[in-house]
Amino acid sequence: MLSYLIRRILQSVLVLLVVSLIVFVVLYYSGDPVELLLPHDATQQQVEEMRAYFGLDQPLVNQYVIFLKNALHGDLGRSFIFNRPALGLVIERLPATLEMAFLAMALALTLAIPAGLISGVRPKSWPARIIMPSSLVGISIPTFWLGIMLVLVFSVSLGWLPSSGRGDTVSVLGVDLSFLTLDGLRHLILPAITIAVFQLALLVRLVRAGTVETLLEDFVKFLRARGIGENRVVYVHVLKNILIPVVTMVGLQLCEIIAFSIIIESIFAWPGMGKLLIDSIHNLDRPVVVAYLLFISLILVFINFVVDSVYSLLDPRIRLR
Amino acid sequence: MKTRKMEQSRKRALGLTSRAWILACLACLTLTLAGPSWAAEEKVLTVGLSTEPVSLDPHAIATASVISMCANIFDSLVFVDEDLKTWPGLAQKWENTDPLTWVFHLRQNVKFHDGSPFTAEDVKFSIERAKNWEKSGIKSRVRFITKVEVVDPQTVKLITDKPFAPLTRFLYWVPIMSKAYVEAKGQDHQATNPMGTGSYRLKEWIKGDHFTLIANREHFAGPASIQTVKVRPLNNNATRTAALLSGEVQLIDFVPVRDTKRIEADKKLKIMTKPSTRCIYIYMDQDRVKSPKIKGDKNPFMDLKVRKAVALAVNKEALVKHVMNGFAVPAEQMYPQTVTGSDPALKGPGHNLEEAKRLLKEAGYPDGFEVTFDTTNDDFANDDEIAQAVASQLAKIGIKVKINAAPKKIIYALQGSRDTSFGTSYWTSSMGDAIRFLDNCAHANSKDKGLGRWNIGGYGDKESDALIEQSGKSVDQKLREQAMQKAQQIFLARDQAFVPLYFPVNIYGVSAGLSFTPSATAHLVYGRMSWAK
Repeated sequence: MLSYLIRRILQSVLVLLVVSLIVFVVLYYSGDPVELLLPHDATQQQVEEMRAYFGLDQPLVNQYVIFLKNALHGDLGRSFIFNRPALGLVIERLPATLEMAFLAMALALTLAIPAGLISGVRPKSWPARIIMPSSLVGISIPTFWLGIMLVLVFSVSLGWLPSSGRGDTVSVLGVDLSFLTLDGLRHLILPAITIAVFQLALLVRLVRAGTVETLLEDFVKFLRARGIGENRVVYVHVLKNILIPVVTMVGLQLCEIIAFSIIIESIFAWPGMGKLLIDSIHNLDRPVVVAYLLFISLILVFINFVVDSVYSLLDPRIRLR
Repeated sequence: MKTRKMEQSRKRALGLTSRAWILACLACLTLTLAGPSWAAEEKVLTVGLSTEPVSLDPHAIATASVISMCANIFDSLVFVDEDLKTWPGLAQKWENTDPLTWVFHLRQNVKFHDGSPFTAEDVKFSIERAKNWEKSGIKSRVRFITKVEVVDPQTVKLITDKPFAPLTRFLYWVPIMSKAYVEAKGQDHQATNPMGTGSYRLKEWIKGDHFTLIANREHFAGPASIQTVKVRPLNNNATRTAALLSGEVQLIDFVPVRDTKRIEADKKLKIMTKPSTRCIYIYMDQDRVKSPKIKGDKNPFMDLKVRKAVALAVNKEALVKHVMNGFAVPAEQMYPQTVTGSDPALKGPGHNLEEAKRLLKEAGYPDGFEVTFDTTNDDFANDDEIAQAVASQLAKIGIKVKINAAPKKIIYALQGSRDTSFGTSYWTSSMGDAIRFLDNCAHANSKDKGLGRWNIGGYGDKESDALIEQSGKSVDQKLREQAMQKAQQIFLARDQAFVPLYFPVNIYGVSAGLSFTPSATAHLVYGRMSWAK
């Protein structure tokens, strides 16, 4: 277990190094942040002063080495634009993103497992005949289109739900949460549904495929031969066996929602991390982009660790090595 | 929210006896009856902005969204109105004791949001901060001020390095901060905790979600009519329109042209427009034989006839009508008539393909030439569509234009380092004086003089430069105006250094109940808005 953890951490340090290097090189060659920071009527001298102030007049290698030195001291730099510590900016946006991602995933998971089991066990029943085609629709709809449609119907036409923003928040242990207020919850519904639809459709298909496959296995026959009730066979034994691919998929998809739900955050003006990332890329705000990617890599490593741990809970034969 | 909660708790407290119930009902009834005027005053204005201000430090980053937001929290010595006329701000009046010395008499009894008095020391501190602070983004706007002297707490003297008439206009763009506050809290604190004398104070800023502004009851011009303003960044165009249509916001800026009909069709909403002072223009690289983005080893733009041909081939009316859907004004010169230095008599060459072809032939390019046209695609409305339209218009006289449309982060860097031959840029004369365009775009590039940094085409003419410098060091407005007009006669009418295309119109989507006058500066000043009676 310990050696597993250490190896994982070493691997992620390597990943972080590569990621930061790529960001440095790409942003270095994609423009000049100083031209964006200063108005066009700035004088040449002013431009040079600012470039020197941010260390942008140094060669790329020097800039990277300085960054690494500071990073080792836990300082990921200050945002060029916001003039505040980059990591703080990222962390400040974390609760909004996590809230939306977890709610969407919980929604998808609680609906997908029963729906998938039903359509796996009784593929000819009418719920299955509705669930499977609609899951195809769910997979094919572009997320941004769905988001805009939901806004048009539920906000503009019906006026039931707010179209954008995060609404009221309450502070719990210094973290601002919106799902604990009624207004915040109302703001959460549309973005969460928009994200959940695709995840739901994906998971339903996965659960169904697993169920169909597992039902044919020998151990199911033995269970039935022993006279164990059909419900217990399906909801305990079959379910446990199909959960491993589901957990893998949930882990992967959760990573993606957390890290890159940029389009959804933009449509719903959700003050999450994705919006910060895209703005920072547009503004060539390198410290923020680097801090974001490093931070997100850490989260992804953590989620993968959790997924691996869940494996060994579900199947004692799997050990973390 | 608060009042509702109070009511509820009051009801609960009174709810023990039936008599109390009746009392409570009566109280509610009187509240409702007395309601209208009180309710109208309490109505929150929620605004959807296309761009979130990145900082609220008025001296740090001078982007339009920052300045617009800060104009509500801070005041300047001088204000400008919707049509760019100056009027007294924190300074009640001012005079020139000699061409280099300006004496500003400050308003009495003005207080900062924290209650401390505003004095001449704050003016001195603010101007010096704008000039010397290493992160200041507005150094160029105060660079001609060499000295700030505090005469007494209500009088401040500014010394300039040359006679400079538009000084007061420039001072609108230098918000006044509190010396004591900045020194106590530190420079970096200002980006998120602004504190000025303005008509609103910042209550909270949840990044990416909203700003809440509360009217400053002590403001010297009287408290603003709208008590609470909530400003929400809604960068996505569809989201911004949807929020207006659903009634969540009552004012949005930069309405996409395709949404204007939808908004106008709604009785509760209206579209408001205001021509901006921004001029979208074409620049041409004209001072070097080898130009980076022109095919071949000759630079056709060095020939006046080619530049004239480009101007004749571009059909501005068509661009405005078909690309901008009428939400723009064709430009005959670099600034609209409201700007000092514009020339009412100056007319462009018009649109004439035959003449353009003839000039190209005379210049030795009967079959045209190939060139890359650099344009942004995320900066101003329809920027890449305009480039495509211009390219197809130029194709008619044989100039083969390849379009390089990229985000502004890339294009600005190309233009700043002059790694470009041909393209669009813009200049906003929102200070109401032509001198900024002339200094930065029309004067030959000179680092020593601090002039001509955004002269992308590299134009330079001794006579025009002399006129520009002359208009930059005079207090005689008449003389200045003549010099600036004459300069434009030379670089535009005679030398066709640029091709001005159009002035875009700023489009706002507004709730019918909001009375609001859009400004040529494009700043949203909430203190001048009110709910219609």
